[in-house]
Amino acid sequence: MFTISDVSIDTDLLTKELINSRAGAFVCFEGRVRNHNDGEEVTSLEYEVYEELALKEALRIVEEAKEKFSVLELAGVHRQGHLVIGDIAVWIGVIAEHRGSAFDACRYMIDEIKHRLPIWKKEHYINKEPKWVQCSEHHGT
Amino acid sequence: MEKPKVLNIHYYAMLREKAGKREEDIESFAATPLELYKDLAGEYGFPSDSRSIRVSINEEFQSMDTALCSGDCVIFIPPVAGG
Repeated sequence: MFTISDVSIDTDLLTKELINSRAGAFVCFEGRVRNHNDGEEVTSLEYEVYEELALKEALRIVEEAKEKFSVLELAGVHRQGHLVIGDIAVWIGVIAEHRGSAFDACRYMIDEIKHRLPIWKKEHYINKEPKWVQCSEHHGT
Repeated sequence: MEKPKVLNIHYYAMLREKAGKREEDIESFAATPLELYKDLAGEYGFPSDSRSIRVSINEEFQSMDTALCSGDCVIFIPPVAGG
């Protein structure tokens, strides 16, 4: 399951949905808005999402992770809209029988999401015009 | 005589800001997304280097050399930055 959200991510609710009595491991990743980037003081972030394609691509990534790693269930949410420092921008949760595959699948999910989903980020600064930023490993270029 | 294709174009992020609009229907003789991008880059001042631009046609990633058809919904995808 993967969703795009206009509102704050409820991590407690998401965690409660990842229940399976065979699971011995739960691993999650929270991406938070930090107050600096590339030497600049960041005040907030705007996320813009091409939602239809982002959801399709995210579901492909979920299926890939299920094929590559021995996991029981995966879930993820990415925010869109204007976020402030400390807000959760992205959340990934994985349950598996053992911790190794849960860590590996979680890492795979967040890495692929960052590089493949049509999501854009505009940084706002204290004394500078806002700027669209890009993932440094975008498109393998 | 060749007729122009009617294409529905959506813009996101920096391309939306440069175009000054979210969406438009255009008539174009462009055969591929690459040709279409070059036309739009000239009109709206998009980045001239198209190597980091990808394209979605009808909600699926496609090559910039794919043949365009009348009625296609085309969305150019500038460098992404999720997470």
